[in-house]
Amino acid sequence: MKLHTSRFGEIDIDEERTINFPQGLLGFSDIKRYIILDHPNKPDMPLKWLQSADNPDLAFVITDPLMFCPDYSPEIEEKNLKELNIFDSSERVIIVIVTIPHGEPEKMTANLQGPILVNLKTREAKQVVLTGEEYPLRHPLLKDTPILKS
Amino acid sequence: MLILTRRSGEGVRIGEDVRIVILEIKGNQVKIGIEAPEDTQVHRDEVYERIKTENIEASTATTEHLQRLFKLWTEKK
Repeated sequence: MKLHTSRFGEIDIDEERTINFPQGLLGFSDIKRYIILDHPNKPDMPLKWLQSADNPDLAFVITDPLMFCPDYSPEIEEKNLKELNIFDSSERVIIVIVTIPHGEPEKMTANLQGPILVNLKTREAKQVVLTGEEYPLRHPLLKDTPILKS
Repeated sequence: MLILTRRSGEGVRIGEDVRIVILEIKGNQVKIGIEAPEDTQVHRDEVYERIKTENIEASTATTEHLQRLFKLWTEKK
């Protein structure tokens, strides 16, 4: 299926690789299907795009939080794991949405309070709202980034 | 907004599937019990709003923004 996106031009959507959010993302509950794309010409970068397969103009920058915060270990409520049929931590992966302040990209932050839980087998996902104050809504990514230090 | 007054132990029913019960009132804190279908999301209002707003903000990112970031990143090395 082809989608003419505003950021990436025309792309091919492989149905088998779409990630399905039965409830969508908070604020975007009608949008259920997404695919993950590398940034054009930057397949090795840890920041990628979560592009909507239904709305060509909607996309989010995402990343593996462990690349920036190796100690990130949110407690996911049982109810969420059950909803996605996740029984084992090896079946799941957590990704987070990154906000890039316009004009100050170095101040980009990751939303650690509303991570996305993905069932690797079924490719179903959900944005989880963490109870408790342990992780922030905006965690600056570039402060002590190991990648920068290298 | 529908406004009702309830006492401890009383409840409110929303549609067929959602029930809210006032369990306990202590000072200015109210303990609320919520019965809803498993797939109905229940969130603390202010947290929900914050995450929703952050999502909306995040959705404005363009490939130019990220490109600029990568450039900065590799320049710093």
